[in-house]
Amino acid sequence: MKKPKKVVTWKSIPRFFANLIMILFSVSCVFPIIWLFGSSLKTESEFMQSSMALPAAFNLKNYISIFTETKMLLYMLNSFRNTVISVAIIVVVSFLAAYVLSRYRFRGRNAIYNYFMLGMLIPIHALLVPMYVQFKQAGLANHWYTLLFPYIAFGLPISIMLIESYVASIPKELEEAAAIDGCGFFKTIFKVVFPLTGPILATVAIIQFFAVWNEFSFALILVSKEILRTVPVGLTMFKGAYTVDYPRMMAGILFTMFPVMLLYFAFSKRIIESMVAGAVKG
Amino acid sequence: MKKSKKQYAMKSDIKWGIIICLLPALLIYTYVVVVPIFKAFYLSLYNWSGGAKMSFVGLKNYSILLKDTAFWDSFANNIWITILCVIGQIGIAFIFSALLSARFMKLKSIHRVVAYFPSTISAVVVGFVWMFIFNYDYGLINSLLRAVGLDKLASAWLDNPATIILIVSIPLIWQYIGYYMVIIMAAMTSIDTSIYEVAEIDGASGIQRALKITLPLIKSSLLVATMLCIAGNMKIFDHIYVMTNGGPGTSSMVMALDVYKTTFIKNRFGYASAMSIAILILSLLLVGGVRLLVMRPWKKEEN
Amino acid sequence: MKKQIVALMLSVVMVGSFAGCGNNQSVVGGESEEPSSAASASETEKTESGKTEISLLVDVSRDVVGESGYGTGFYTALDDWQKAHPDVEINIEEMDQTSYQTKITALGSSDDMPDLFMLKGSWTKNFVDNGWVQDITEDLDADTQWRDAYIEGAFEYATQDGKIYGVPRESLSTGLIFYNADMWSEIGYDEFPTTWDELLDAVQKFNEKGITAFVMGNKPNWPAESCWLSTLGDRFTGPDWTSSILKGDGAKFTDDTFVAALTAFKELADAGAFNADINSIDDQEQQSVYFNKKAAAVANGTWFIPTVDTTAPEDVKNATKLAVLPSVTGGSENQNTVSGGCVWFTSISNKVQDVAKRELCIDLLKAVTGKQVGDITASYGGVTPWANPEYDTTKVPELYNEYLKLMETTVNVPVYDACMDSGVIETMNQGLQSLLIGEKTPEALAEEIQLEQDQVVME
Repeated sequence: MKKPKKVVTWKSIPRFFANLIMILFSVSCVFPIIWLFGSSLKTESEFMQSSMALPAAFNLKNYISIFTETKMLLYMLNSFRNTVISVAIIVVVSFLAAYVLSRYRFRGRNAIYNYFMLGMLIPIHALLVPMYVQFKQAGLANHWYTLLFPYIAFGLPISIMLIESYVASIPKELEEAAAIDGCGFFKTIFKVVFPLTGPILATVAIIQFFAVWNEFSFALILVSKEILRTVPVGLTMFKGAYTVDYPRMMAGILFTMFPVMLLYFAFSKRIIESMVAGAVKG
Repeated sequence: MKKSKKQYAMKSDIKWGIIICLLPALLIYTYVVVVPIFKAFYLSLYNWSGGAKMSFVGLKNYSILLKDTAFWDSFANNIWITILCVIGQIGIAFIFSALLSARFMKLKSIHRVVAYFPSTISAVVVGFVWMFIFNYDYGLINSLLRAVGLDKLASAWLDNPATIILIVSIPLIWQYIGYYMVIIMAAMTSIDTSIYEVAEIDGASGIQRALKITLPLIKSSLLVATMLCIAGNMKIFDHIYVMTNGGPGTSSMVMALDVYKTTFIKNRFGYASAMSIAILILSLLLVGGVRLLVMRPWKKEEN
Repeated sequence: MKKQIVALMLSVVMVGSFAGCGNNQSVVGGESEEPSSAASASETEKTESGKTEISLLVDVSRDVVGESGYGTGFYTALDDWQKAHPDVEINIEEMDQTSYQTKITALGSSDDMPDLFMLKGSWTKNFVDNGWVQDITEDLDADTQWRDAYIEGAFEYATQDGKIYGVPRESLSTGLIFYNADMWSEIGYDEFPTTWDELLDAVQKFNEKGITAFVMGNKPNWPAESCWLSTLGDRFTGPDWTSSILKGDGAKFTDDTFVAALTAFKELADAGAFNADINSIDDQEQQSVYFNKKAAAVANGTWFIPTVDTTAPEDVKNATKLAVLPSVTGGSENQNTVSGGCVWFTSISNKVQDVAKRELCIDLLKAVTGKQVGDITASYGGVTPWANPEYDTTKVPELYNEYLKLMETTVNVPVYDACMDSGVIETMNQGLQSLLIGEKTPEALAEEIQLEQDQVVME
């Protein structure tokens, strides 16, 4: 009797700590949201006196004022439009490019692949001015579609990389069978390959969704009209020249994160499953 | 990789298919990403403060840059952050992924979902929240330390130039652990479970299995993760900008922040462009170098 | 295959880079005119409804209406003007100051300045050299009532070679000491110290009690320079040195007097006058430290007056008094000084050349810099460049009246970041962070700043 008991305690201590560490980490991952929410319920002077204490009352004043006094809903609509269209285009365009880069070994293939990978090394702040000058001269600045260009272009490298390596892990047999059946090039791609790459396309879509939704610098520089403003830029308006109303700003941050969080946690299980199924298989 | 004759003698519809598939990506990528790089290179040959007056100076901006110790200090900071992040992000992600594949772990699916969540938050918000966590007076860390009587350990975390790089790396590591966990878990699921069963029968412990079986089998995924990590950290900006603004002094200054300040505060567009080109070249060298360093031994192993 | 791909890529790059460099605009669609003609075309351009468009870029959010004096005044005047001019469409873009600086620089560098914008004094030289901002001297001379309504020297930092490029919007003092009189009397100072030695003595007494004498939130790195060094520097160097630096005719940052100022600043920090987290909290967080009585004083600008009034706990609000830095020994003649003046201006873009539109823009400029704005700003306890604002003196914060009294005997000296080159200022600000935590000597910092200054003079 004694022996197995000993074994259990000897093994269960590290197991307990492993579980504990994992739980602590997970708690730390949601802590920011809880803290932001707690702070957003405070008044400005309450927050100034202690930023870590619990709010004195459940006061939604900040949310109500954002909803009624600012154009945050318009900004969210803009962000949403940019995000949905960009992500859709990124998925299709990078799928097409990644597919041929993965399946066909033509001359210049490696050059083109590396050419795309270069994009991951570019600090965007370095290119803001040249890019604005270029967009302005081509008449591409300040339209509803302006931001789609950088979002799509800068989303391509990582997307192509992920899809390329995933396609490489899919057996070719199905495509060959389709070709023998007389399917043309594009019919094979869309009817046979596209459905097979579901998980990785979902991964790409998720990564890009959040990247585009949160993007700030391009949105600040490339569009100037209020009706085109996106959420991250809209948030800067909560800062005055010499004052910041932190609780109100936090309410703004949460307000705009809310739809995205809802989406994430509602579909979280499926999102992570398809991401795990889709991420780089080397 | 072998190029058979058959593949070169492509049918013309495949040829056109390839072109049509690549064209949209190439066009938009070239126009938006690559052309501005050329433009930046062009600007880097000038002294330009933004107005109509531009004076050609040749490669002078680059020769100044070579001697600009502030820039090279920023570069060194980038390197340190990158090293810390490769170890921290990928290392911890590997341990967590291995743990989550163990039978004794509870709440696995919740952990998976929650761990990725920070990756979905914008870098600015992450920096903002951590700024308050590190706060000296009422920050979370110091509050906890003081609560358990360790007042002496409470310190102004973001004010010590000697440790600032380590401190600003923590939020970075924390945010992206989930991201790399996804990559590593994906690679792990593709390992044949029967290998583990055999090892277990042979009496290998969990740690032995993780190090001797899992690690070698997912090394190519780890390489990809490392490359992503290097590329991401060479252009790191938002976190640092929010948490320290490059300070105290310039002790947490990174290259992208240096470019930003040179452009938008000092209005030296020509010089800032030279810095941007330098960042690109340095990143290329680093990524290429690491690839070579890692790939060489592998190829030898395989032979 | 290879050839096709290479040819394709080449052509793409060529087409793109031509468009990018502006040698051949017609290649990639869009405007085919020369940049200059495109610019003037857009000026007379009317919207679909036939309205004239005026674009505005401001660093003041409409969100602060009802809280900040100037913000309220500006938007009230703007809305009134819009009502009186239904035929004009105002496109206003508002953002915080950091984003504003990024945006205005990007717009300027691509020849796309908004019609009306905010100009910081230290930008004047660069904006004028680049042709981004318009000379409005004649318009001011034509309307002397407008021109003469401001306090003396209000136009100084928007003036280049005798020409005026902007109308002042706020008048600030940046180096005021806000102190909690209760806390200072507890250590035996019923008045704020008047000499540097007394100050060091007070710091020591506060340290013994475990209280921070001065809280500074220097993470954004301008407070040390704007709220401290601009005043402290002048106490040692005197105003002649500063104007010599600005003209570039002799004075150097390595001069003994300036190094002495840096040394005094460092000694104050070494004596433990400041909070431990001096470089990691910002100017907002420093307020909460002061409001919680963890610090006995804070050096801040006039914009802090309304904040104390609305946000401080009652006891702190009642105990808060104003002072200027104590005098230093061996310094310049006048020790009763505080850094301040008109730092921000409203300006018109150089692109506004169409006569009819220009007239409208000047009219709008008059409105948003007019008496109404001054009166409203003052009524909230904001300091205005208007010489005689009319407001209800009983309704403004008590501190505001105290400030006006203080300024009767105090002389304004330049704020460094309002007038010096922004590259020099950035070097100075970053260096001060290191200086105050003992990572840099005053001499080394002075040399670094001078090195940056040499580059400016060379250009």
